[in-house]
Amino acid sequence: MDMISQLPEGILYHILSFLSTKNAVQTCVLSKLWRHLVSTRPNIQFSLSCFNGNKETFMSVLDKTLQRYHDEKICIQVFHVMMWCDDYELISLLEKLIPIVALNMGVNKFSLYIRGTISAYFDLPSVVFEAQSLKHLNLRGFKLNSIEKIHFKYLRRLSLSEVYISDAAFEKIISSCHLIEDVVLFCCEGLKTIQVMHKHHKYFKGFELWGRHSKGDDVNGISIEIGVPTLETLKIVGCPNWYHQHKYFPCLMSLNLDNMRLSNWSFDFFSCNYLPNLKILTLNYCYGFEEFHLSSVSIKHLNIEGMKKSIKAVIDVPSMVKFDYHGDIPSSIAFTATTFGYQWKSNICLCFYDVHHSSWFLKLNKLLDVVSQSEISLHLFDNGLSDNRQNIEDVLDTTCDGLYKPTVAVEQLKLALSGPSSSYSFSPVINNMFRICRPRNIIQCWCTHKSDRAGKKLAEFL
Amino acid sequence: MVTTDEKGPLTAKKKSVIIRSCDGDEFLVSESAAVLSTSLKKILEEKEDRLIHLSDIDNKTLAMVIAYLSTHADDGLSDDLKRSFDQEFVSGKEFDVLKYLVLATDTLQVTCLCYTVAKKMADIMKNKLVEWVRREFDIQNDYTPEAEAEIRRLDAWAWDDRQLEDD
Repeated sequence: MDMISQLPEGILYHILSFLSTKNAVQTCVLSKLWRHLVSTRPNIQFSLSCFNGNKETFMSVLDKTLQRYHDEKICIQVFHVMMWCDDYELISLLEKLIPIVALNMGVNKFSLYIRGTISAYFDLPSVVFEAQSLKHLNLRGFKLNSIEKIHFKYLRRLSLSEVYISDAAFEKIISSCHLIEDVVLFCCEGLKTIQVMHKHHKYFKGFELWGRHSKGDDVNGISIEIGVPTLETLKIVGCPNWYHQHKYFPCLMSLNLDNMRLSNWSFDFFSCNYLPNLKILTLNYCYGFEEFHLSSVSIKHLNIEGMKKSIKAVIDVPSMVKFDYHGDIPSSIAFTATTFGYQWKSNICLCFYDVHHSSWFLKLNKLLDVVSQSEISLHLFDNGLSDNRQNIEDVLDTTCDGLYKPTVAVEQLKLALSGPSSSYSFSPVINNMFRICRPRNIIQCWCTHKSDRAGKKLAEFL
Repeated sequence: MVTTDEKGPLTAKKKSVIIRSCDGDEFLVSESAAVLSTSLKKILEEKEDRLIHLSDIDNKTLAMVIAYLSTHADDGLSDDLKRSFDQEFVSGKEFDVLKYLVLATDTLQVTCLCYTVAKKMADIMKNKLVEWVRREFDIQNDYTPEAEAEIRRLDAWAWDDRQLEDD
């Protein structure tokens, strides 16, 4: 026996499961043992892309493989298929092949991502809910309307992406699966009100909800109320109606809110009174408030992106290790924590497009002064759409109104200026930058190939 | 010979276990590290004996497994650090070494290390010509040329024009 074939079958199956389907099938040729392994492997993973888009071959290989697993009673543990094709092909697949997989006694991961040509959603054969051993269920492109009985009691992860699901069907799944750990709902239709308030979920750790609504459109959003004390991570994107009043999440470590309407109450909610264990707070493109006061002794990592320019912020987060800020310079920001007992890092990423006055640099000067106790990494980029930078006054008046703060040491200055025109001059920008900060390292990177010449100019300048 | 694991001298409070390899060398391991192996955990639950003899794992392999267990039992290390340790742990190791390692993880039931090593072995085989894999892993081709051609014909879709490496 050679050295690899001596390994127990279970390990050889593991090795095969890490190979692409194509690579795995090729190993058939190695020896008879490998052919046996490949044809009995418990992981079935097919995607149309590994057939170079040839649907006919794909359907026939999938059909033959599943039929053989059925006839020879071979166990399927993982079923993962990703395909897009004509509606009638999909329907025949669903009718014939899904029962084979769902009724195979071993299946614990079931992932089926489909996209048809005409219909947006396909009815999910109810036999899927009879798969007793199921632990992971991942679906795309299906319709789940009414569910009679759910046989899988051990479901740990549910991920629905672009699925039509009624409130009742979702409620039915969640309330039947007491061991659920993770739920991801990505751009699902049909959901109006999500309520997850069951006390019997002992292992529920992660919840992620991506709504279909955009900023300002408060009517079409999903309402969500979640009160699961074991939750560790929560991400909500674009759901205007999130009822979190007086909810207490003792275990929540990471909260990520994106495109959400927040109020002053929300900022109270982020405090240790409600989220005593919160380590990472991410607020992206949140709106509905003019100023905020954030106070938490547990937060270590604060990410803020896309906040309104006029925002006035007071941040009282004494345990902070990392502060990430992306967007416009806020009109006012202050850190009230008296001391940060140890080194913290701030990563400031600012868009450059509206810089046509040296006052911008004064604002930046102020912002840098606020974070000057940290190791600063400053990243400036532009979108290459504006030529206004040419109008920057050459000299930043460092004496005006006593507003000017001393230059701040910056660990890393990253410039990504796409320089749309060759007449563009960097010197005002760079000169002004050097008046407000002392960079230890300068990195330049370029957004577009057009900027090669501009890149050279900056390189020469530096 | 008694070797302490990487965490240095053990404090009186921490319970420890002695594990003996098939070569007869003994390793002192903290109990918190040992119980990451499902088999060792079971043995420790069943008997009070603090000496465990593993008759089919050699010194070199056992030392590697213990280094892995001790790192993963260290609460002071972040998950990110453990992940990068895992990457470092399998990188550059000979296939032979990986084989004994994966066998040991199978015996000791250390699932996550078993996955990491199996993935590394798959990475070695990835996108390689069949001839390369046979040569490298010394796999005996027990097909007749006709039978091999027939198998290639049956799964023709897996043998399209994609570039494979032969290095």
